[in-house]
Amino acid sequence: MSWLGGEPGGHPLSAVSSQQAQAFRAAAPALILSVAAVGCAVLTPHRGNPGPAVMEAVATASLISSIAGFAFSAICGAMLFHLCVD
Amino acid sequence: MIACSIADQATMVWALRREVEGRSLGLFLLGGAAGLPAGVWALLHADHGLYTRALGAVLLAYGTYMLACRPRVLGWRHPGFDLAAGFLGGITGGAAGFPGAPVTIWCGLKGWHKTRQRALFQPFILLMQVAALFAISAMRPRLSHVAGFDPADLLCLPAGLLGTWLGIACFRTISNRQFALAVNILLIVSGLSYVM
Repeated sequence: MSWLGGEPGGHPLSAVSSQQAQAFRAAAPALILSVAAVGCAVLTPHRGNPGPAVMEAVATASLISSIAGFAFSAICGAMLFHLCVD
Repeated sequence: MIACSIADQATMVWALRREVEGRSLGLFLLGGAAGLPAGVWALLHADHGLYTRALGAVLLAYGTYMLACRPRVLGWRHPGFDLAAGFLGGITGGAAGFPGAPVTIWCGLKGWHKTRQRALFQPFILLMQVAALFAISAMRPRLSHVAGFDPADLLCLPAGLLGTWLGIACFRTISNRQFALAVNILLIVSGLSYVM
């Protein structure tokens, strides 16, 4: 049953569950941050707090800038400027 | 935005912590520390609009040129060039909040692997940003009209960190060629944001 990727002689399902656990560990930060981001955007729409559009701009700028590792301020600043103008 | 930027940079440095070469970084930081006061002085006393437009035009021209031509590698390996790149990074960091431009360009011209490049310029950017904040607060006169830090801005942090997490995941999957492309596109975007 080594086609499941398990250790020779080991239980095949243990390999599957270990892969699932690994995938979950890798995705856990994203899940936690997603919940926190949505929570901040939805649950705190008070006066003066940054709105969902601002958070969206910050998330987009962070995503784009962290592919190469710089230019967050340039991208985020431009997006926030357009948000303020609109 | 500064809080988000520093949090993003810190996350990226943490993700690359095993690849950071302290000795190479030290040389760039030394140059950066020398250039930073000049940059902050320019921020406080020079025509901000003029030099940011000039910086934007340089970034725009360089990024466009590098997109149009084949990637090139310079054979110059003298530590003085690293020091000079760090010095320029200190000036642009203090004056325009963009310490990464000269160092990023220089690391790209060295033909390094994408991870090695980022392991150098990522901590450089983070440390220069933090140092610039301290230098600005130390060198500027007390201005009552300058807006202070609003704790509500921290509500943007989870969104920023989520974007950073996804961006780092993208970075790990792209090739060196695609990384160079991303760097040049971001240089153009940065240049446009300063010019416009």
